[in-house]
Amino acid sequence: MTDTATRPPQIGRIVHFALRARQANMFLVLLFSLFIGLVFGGFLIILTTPALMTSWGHFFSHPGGTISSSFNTIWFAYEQLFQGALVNFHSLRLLIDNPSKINLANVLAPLSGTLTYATPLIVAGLGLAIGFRSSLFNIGGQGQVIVGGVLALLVSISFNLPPFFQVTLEIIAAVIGGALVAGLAGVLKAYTGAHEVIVTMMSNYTMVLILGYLLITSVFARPGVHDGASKAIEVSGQLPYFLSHLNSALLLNFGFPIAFVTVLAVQWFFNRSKTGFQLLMVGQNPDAARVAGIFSRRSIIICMALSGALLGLAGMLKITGVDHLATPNFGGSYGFDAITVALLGRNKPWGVFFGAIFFGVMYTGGAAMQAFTPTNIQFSLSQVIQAVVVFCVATPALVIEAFRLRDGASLISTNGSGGWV
Amino acid sequence: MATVSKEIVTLSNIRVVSRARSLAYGIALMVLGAIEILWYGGASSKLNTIVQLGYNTATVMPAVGAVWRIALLLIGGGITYLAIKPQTLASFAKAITTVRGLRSVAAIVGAYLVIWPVLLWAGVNHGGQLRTFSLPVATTGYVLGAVSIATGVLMAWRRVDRSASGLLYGGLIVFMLGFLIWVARGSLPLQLTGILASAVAVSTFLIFGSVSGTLCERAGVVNIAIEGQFMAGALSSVVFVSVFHGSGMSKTLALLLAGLFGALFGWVLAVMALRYQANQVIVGVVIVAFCTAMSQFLMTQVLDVHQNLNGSFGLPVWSVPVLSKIPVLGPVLFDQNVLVFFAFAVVIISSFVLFRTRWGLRVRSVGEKPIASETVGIDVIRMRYSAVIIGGFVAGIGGAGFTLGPGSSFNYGMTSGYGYIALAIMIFGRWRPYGALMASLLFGFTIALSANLNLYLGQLVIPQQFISALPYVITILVVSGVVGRIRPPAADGVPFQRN
Repeated sequence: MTDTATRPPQIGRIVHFALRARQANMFLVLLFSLFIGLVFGGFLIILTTPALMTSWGHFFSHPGGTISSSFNTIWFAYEQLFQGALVNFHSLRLLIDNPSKINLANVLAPLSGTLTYATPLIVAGLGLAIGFRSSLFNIGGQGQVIVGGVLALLVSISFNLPPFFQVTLEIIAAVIGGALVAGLAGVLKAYTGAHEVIVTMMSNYTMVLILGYLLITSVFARPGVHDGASKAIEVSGQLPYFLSHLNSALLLNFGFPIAFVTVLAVQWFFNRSKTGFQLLMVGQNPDAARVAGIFSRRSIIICMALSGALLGLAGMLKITGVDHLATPNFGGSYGFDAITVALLGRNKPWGVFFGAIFFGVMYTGGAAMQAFTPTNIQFSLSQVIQAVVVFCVATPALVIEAFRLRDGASLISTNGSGGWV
Repeated sequence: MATVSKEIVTLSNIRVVSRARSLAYGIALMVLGAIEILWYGGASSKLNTIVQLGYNTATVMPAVGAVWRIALLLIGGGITYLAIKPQTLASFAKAITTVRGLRSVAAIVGAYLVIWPVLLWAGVNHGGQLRTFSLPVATTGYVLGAVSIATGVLMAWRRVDRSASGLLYGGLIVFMLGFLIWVARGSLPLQLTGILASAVAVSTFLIFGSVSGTLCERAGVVNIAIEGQFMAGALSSVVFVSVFHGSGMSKTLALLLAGLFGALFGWVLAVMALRYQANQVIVGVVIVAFCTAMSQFLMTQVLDVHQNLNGSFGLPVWSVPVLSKIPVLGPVLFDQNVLVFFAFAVVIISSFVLFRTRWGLRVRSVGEKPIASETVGIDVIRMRYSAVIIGGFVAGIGGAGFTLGPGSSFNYGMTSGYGYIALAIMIFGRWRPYGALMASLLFGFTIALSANLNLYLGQLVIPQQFISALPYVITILVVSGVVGRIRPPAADGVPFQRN
């Protein structure tokens, strides 16, 4: 960049900007990752849409038509994805022309759906980020979400307190439950060397099966109904809705501010608290931490328990804010989505926050894409794009090299070892 | 003897630990046996259990006359004796028996030659079908419980530190047998051979997966992506075979294709882990996420529309000419689909390659101390690339075991975490192919058991979900040290930076 200073200023500024633009930073990596993901998804759309494939068969007779029809199809699909998840331009124009409650609700509807889906994921992703930052790989998100959700449900079934206390009690139960399940994996890791990946993974499958069993017991099952769903959470135990006065279809609830506060709390935990610093240190260099007098067994257990506590909270937010009852696949793919959210956010609290919102966008947008594209491009395409994006973000070296970005070394952290015992 | 810190591995420390473990195992076995006696034996049940050893009529040992029976008995007894006590042999024969594995093969052959006439005299060959036994539940519970307790007492009292695992597994098998007989009491027969045969069939992909993990980790790369490689192999093979309407040749090529898809993701893992030095666990998990999303997408977007692309074609079943006639063991081991034999072959080949060839030595050295390997001129990165890609190939073929093995069509989510269980099996097998084989068979047994126990749900006091959770809980117990402290390859998962 030094030689640009000798050039004429106008050109120099442009060159300087171009060079600056190739300077690797996380934002650029994210942007290029998204680009790669969308291009990959575009290829998949072309390959799996018969009409487009036939037109590619006639590529040499109508090259322009082929390319434009392919581009239009892809563009339309991504447009639906965007409008279904963030802002629908049509309803936005209606709102500007005619500001009314209903039009405002229509504008907010996609965003509300996105944030509702993202809320538990934010908390779950934060839980996993805590683990990752101290080099503990908690894959048991699904199981811990289930435990949190089930305990919240149990509280709501057993007690009948005023709403505020009911919800508080649910939170406490879910947090303790998640912490215990993950903490057990931490204890096993600390004292027997059992790798937490396998223990938590197996606890996932176990929890799913236990959930399936619990849902047919008399405590949880609705009497006389055998559809596998549990009793519903009473209104006093539900998280209240935000925007339901605009339109009852807006499901954004008070889970979102709770998630927001959790982001701040985790931020504080890592930047300001002693335990957080110790965990970071153990994650960066376990040997140095041991020399510095940080007891690694204790920090392993604390870290896993904290991670599980947040995942339990995520389960509680999901069941009290979104589902209101438990089904056999209550945990869903939340555990795995949360892992990828944490990777996407590079384990930073705000990164996780926006990563989860990105997942929410892909979820609600993917559903809209499937509904509104003429060939019904399947929802799972958005999941593929998401996976590609996460893949690129998790290995920034690939993006940095593919796009010839500069000074990428600081972004590529080999992040300790991934060994077993 | 000077007391050495427990953390330091010395012979005496190992002995102390293993003796303590033997005591613990012995006590555990005694408790299990006591449960069996008090619960099953004491069950006021007058019921009998019908144990069905026969599997199909084609697998019965041929009946021979009395003279032949005595001849077989003598020959078999002789072979067994020589195999067990090779000291009595002449030097020439001794040389043969020192060949690794030959002694155990001879012992097995001899034992069978003995068992054959004994079984014939016992009248198992009942009208072309193996006879079914009717065992009284209570008495069986007493007897098997007593055997478990005796094994436990032996372990706890003698503190055996060498053959602890053999006694432990023997005692556990006896306990499991008692449990099965108790569960299957009543009219529905206990198809013991059937359960064992399905256990071997189920363990096919576990064998492939755990051998894949072993190959990669011996080279120092953690392959968590096995689950994704399973999916890729399962999906690609079934689509390929369906395109060719299940012709014989296409099935062979489909296995190859499945392997290639596995190798592709192995290569991706290798590039990320070796070239870009990303965290191997993270890359593996992301590969699994990608494969999950991709298979879901292809399933909903393509296969649900073109269902002829997702057909059900099974690999041919091969009955080994003589061996499949052996009662119980024949149908279990030698009357299976081709992939099962491939799995056994993969174990043998990979064990030979890892421990008997130059490539294997280099792979192991790269996984233990890459810097030292580099110093003597081994290309660490290249060795790791080759191991991970070959490992991916093996896992991909294992993926075909989900679809082509049992002959079912591809189903989203059909791998259901077996890729991760394969990693636990790899640890259980202590990063050795033969260990992986044994551990796979054990896990396959628990999986087949939990599937088969559904037949007897009425008489099972345990909810079905808990039985299904058995393989997972056992995995947790295994990795948390039931098998003792285990030592992974020293450089496992550590990125290598060339200076």
